[in-house]
Amino acid sequence: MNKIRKNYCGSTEHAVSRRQFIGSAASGIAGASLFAENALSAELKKQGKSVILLWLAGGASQLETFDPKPGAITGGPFQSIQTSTPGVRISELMPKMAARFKDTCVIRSLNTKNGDHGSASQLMMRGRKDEASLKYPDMGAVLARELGKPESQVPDYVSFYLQSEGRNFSGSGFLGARFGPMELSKSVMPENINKPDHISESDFLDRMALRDLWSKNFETGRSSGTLASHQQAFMRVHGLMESQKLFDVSKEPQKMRDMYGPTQFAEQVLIARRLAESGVPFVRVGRAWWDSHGQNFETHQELVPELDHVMATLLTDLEDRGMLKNTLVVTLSEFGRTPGINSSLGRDHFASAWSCSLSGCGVKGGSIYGKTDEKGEKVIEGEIGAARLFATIYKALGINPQKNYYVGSRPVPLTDPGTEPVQEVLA
Amino acid sequence: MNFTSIKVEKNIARQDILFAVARVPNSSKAFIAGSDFKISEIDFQQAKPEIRSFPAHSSYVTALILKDDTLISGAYDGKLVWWKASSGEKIKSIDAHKKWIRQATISPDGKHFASVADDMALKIWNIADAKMVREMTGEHKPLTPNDFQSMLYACAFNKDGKLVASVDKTGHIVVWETFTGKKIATMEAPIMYTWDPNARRHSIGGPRSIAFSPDSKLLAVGGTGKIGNIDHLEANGRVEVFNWEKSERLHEFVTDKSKGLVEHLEFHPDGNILLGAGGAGEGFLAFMDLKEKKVAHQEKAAMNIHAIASSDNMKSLLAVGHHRVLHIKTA
Amino acid sequence: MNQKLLVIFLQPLAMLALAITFTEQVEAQEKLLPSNMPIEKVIDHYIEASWKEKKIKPADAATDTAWIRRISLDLNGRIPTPSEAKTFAEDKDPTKKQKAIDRLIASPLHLRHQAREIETLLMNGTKGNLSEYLTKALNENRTWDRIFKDFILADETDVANKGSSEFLKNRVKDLDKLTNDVSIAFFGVNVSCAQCHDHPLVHDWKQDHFYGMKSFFSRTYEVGNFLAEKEYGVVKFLPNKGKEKQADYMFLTGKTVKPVGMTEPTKDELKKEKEMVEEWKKNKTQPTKPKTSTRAMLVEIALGKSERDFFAKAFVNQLWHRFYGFGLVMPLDQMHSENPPSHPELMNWLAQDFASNNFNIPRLVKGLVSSKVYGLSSRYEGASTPLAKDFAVARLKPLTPMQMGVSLRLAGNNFGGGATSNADLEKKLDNIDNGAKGLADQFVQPSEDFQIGVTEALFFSNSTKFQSECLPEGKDKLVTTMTTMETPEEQADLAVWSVLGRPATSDEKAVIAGYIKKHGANAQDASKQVVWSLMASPEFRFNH
Repeated sequence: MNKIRKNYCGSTEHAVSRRQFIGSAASGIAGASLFAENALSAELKKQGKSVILLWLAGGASQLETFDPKPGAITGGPFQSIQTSTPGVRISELMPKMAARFKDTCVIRSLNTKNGDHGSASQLMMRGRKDEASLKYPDMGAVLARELGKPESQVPDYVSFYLQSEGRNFSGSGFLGARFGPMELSKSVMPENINKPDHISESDFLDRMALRDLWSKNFETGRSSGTLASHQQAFMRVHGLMESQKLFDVSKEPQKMRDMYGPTQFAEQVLIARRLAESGVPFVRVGRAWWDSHGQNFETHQELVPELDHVMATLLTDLEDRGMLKNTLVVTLSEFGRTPGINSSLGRDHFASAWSCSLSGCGVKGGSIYGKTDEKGEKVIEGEIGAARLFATIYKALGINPQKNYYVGSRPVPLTDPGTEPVQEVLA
Repeated sequence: MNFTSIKVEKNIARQDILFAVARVPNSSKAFIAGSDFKISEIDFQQAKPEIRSFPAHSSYVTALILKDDTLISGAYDGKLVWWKASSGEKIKSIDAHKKWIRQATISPDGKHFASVADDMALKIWNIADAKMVREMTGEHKPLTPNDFQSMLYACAFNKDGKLVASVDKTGHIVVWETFTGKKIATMEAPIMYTWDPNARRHSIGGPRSIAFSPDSKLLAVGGTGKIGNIDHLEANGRVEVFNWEKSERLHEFVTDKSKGLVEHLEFHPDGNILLGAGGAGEGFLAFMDLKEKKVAHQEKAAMNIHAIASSDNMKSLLAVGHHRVLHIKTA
Repeated sequence: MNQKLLVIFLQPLAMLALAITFTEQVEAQEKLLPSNMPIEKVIDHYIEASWKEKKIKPADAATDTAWIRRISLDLNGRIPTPSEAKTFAEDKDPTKKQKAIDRLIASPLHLRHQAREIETLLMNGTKGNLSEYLTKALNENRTWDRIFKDFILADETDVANKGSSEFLKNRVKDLDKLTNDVSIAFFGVNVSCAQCHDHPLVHDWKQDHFYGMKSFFSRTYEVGNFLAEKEYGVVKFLPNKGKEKQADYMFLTGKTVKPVGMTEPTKDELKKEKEMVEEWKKNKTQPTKPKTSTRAMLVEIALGKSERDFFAKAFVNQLWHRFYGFGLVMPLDQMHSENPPSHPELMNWLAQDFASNNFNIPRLVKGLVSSKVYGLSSRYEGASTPLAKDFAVARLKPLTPMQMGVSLRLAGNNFGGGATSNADLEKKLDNIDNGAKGLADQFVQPSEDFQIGVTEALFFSNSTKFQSECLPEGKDKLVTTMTTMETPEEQADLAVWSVLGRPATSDEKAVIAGYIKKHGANAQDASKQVVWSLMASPEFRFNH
């Protein structure tokens, strides 16, 4: 029998606009209009806020991180430890985060109903499901748009994903490639960001100027969103090349590099800090791959202490630099893992009761939101889905979750109408 | 043995996942322990096998040693606890290791036992007075070559107890002199450890069992093969047999009908047959013939087997594992 | 009778009635132009009529060089060689456009390009390789209904259909996706919303339609590496309101099939089936076909006289979209009564024409690109640019990855006067096409409202791969040939003809000549930079 998937369309009532089904792209120029900034938005940009998303790809186990159930039949072998907040305990695998829990809020009550890697990561990167004819921008694209500067010389949205498993290039949807990610999938240095040796600096600029001239000529009497994006892409080349040094971790003192640690993940997170420090509004560091269907405890013994150390180091580093109040550090996956332990001592996909964390900018540090039952099988308090999580993240950054973008003339709010941020999470 | 008969005589379903078993000699009784942090005493011939059950640790119990009326348990909480077997009364608790105790094995003379844990230490203990007589460290590195925490999974004595061997996650094997702690030999079984730098960037596997041959000349190590998708234990079971004095690998056996880890290894007293048992999604038993150099017989088990306590020259196998106890008779 | 039941009973009949009325309208010839009129004339007639009605002034006709570039890209996936472009521009023959179309369609590159475009249409990101089948099918000039049938029946026991199972096979693990992809690819209908509930706004799409379509595929499954169909199986679903029901075999128009002789299987029959499956799996053999194929039922109903309009319209719209840059119905997968075509009579006529001419693809292609409307300029001089759906100005179409790969390589080579005979030229083009994949992989397949990212600009600017593939040095290469020319003005001319397929304007000649003189120290480098600037310009990047 086909089970009805009540969540398939994202909400019980789409809030569907008639337009989308009657050729919303019927107008000549497609794409979101880059309408004038309002004063609040401009103000935010002055404050230079950033988000660093630690994307725990594959589905990290909430039971082995933020919502341990020691002693329960589903609890597994790990203990819980006291955090710096009385009454709050997290997994023993995270002693460093436990000690500096003061800036972190853990949400334990995510119920996102989707246990498929591909579509769930789309959901958790967008806060909603795409519609038939509307591709939503993901968190990075939205924040690049909201927090980035139009004339910025640094990229707005950087995404590190160096492992080959589970890589699905997120996207800017209807916001267009202007707000698309700079994807780093082969190395921590963006591809083609260095001027090649066979051309001098002045020749490089000269030929670019020549190109710009042809471009201007061609644009006379013609217009299209895609045409505009072509021009914009080339306009940004020089600035992006200048930002190459941000990706060069050797520019950090060795002491700092040692502090973060020797692993690939550690290095990327350090680079993320460098980027945020230079005004890049959104950096995603994907740490693959948490999908421990077999040997869940062994895998988490490897991965959680790394996360614990790197995340704690990042928060302390940001704090030392006076950046923490303007930087939001998020840990998130596409889903969590089953309370049930399978025969290979693994945990499988589980989206009914899982956790994420928010630290820094705009959140109530040292707190927990939401509760799961004794075995961690379901949420018993404070259940939220992707939509409310996103509303909360936007609000924490001072962005109105009901702010509208426009696709053609259709208003598209950042989150569906009626989606409330979780006030208890916000500072 | 000629495998004319491998019969499951008793199949007991359990709520817990069992990692350790110790049999009471000449009886159908045994102590089992695992994921509910408890120790249970069972009589597997009874219709209601569980006699009693008592809390023992604050994490998974992975080791049980039984000598006369002394029962010793080891667990992921790093503690070794001495009990009076007959009553279940706690005698003594020691913070034996700083990290997860993975295995404990009794010496042939019944006076000592060895424990291994993720603090990468092999420790020799006196059963009677609960004192540590020797500690071997320094050989098994705490971090893998990829800078992640390593684990020390298994240990075994040879027939006269003068030698003890240990094997860690990366496949590094060490043979020691039991009471001097001197390192005698090392060898490697790296195939059993898979580090994936590209797709998933972590590791899986590592040898989980080790055993000396009755003549002490061979050392067998059990685990799994190289894994492609490290989200699963998807490779076949694997056993490597070394001439440990020469640090030379002699044979490799692959359980081509079953996937997973070989978690229990045991030589038949005749020295010719080697039993490996374990599993992943399913469980298996494999009988390897050292003369013929092949896996002579493979059998599916009703669950992923984590430990076996055998008696009567392997004619009676008490296997424990994922939510189940099996009593198997062989002929 | 229970109200709800009545509705459920009558709904399909109502849809059927609607469909039949619609078809009747189409057959009312007095509203449509005669069926023997050439396709291109019909297009011009209806579009020009709509301009007249809306008082729209269309753009001028495209220049000859713009037209030959456009047609070469659209039909053969490549820019013209300078020689081709020049020859065409200078030709005084009034039928030269038709001759160019015929010449391009006769080239092997045309079929290759068609195969790629159809594969993109059908797969669009889903893994799978249709090229083996499509190359063969298009070579044999198989009609679109035959191709549809081949993909849906997926019968690889017939060696003539090798590779035809690729469409379904890669989707068989997710029958919901399979259902929706078939609906989108062949019928222009995205019914995914109707999985959860009847569509609130579009009356055509109810849950019955989604599950009705799914029924045709419900028996499709994988046996080892083979696609197979069971003897038994139905789709049951729980509607948003009401009890669980069994889905009818319902096509998107609402027409249902009530198959004869289909029985519920006995326990024995199910057991036998299971055993057979095990046997096939063990022996790795092709499973046998079922007595009744529900997929064959779909083919029959979809291509049946009363329903095939749907099928015809979808392909017409997709092909129109490809050549005109904008569909008669937009979006392409929203063909329903609430979203009528911009030019309903044109759509109807084209669909009818396609269906009554055996769904012949080359015939339709030729017709579409032969119209005057197709040949308009993409530049508009007027005050306010007309909307896309008026087709009064040609639309900019970003090049596909393969078009970029092939065209960049082509531009960097200097065939000049070199390749004379057709065979010689075709051979050179063949080589270029064969080696273009690496470069093509650097580009992203355009989608609707496509945005070009900075990654592409960085690739152009800094990649050594770009340098070596697109600006190669050598005797027959553009940048080197430029340095052998007498004057910088001649170099400019060659560069612009080679890369952009037209003569350089006098301003352009002056600018380029000035650039070359300024960077005269290394002539090769200077010409590379000039060629680079042209390749990186939007005039190259777009099919205009």
